[in-house]
Amino acid sequence: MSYREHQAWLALGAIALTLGPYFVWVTLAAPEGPGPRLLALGLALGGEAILLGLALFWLQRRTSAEDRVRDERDREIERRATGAAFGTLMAGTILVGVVLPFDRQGWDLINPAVGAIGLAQVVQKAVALWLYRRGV
Amino acid sequence: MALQNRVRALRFEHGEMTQADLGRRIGLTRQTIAAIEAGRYSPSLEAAFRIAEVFGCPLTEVFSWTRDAG
Repeated sequence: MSYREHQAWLALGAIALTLGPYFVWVTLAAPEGPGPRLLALGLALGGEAILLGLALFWLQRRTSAEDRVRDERDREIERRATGAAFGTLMAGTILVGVVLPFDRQGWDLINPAVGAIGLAQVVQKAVALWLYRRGV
Repeated sequence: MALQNRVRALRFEHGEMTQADLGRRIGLTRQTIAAIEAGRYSPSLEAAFRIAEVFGCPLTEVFSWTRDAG
């Protein structure tokens, strides 16, 4: 498995370990009031950044500089994956910024927005992994 | 598959050159050379010419293209 594939798996893992529990908690057990929700959101987003940063640092330490080179195939896969993620993000933006505000506000807008961003990240990494396996 | 190549055969004909060696000489990763050989990636025209240059043969001896049936 290439360095870029490892990167994508680590990113998916970081999302699953942070945003996953956050949305389960929001759906099942979130109390009313902004305090705990804001704290949980901060922990989820901050946790994702820290976890991914540590994981990528660990990966970089155990990979040679030669294996970290990005070539034309990596760039093509990244271009296609980012295109797919952009479509997802646009759909989420239309939902959160145009459709939902008619009858929702506050956390009922914030959580779908965070969800759309998280989903776009997942789509980007998943499409990249699929293209590395299936071919470009 | 419309695009075929003889990269793997040519590597062995040139002193069993490794995928990593070939990749290093033309600025591609070992994984990309493996993907080209397996037909999972069609290289850019420039990369294709570079591969042919390494083997010292014309592009058409390395890559061939046939029209898909239907």
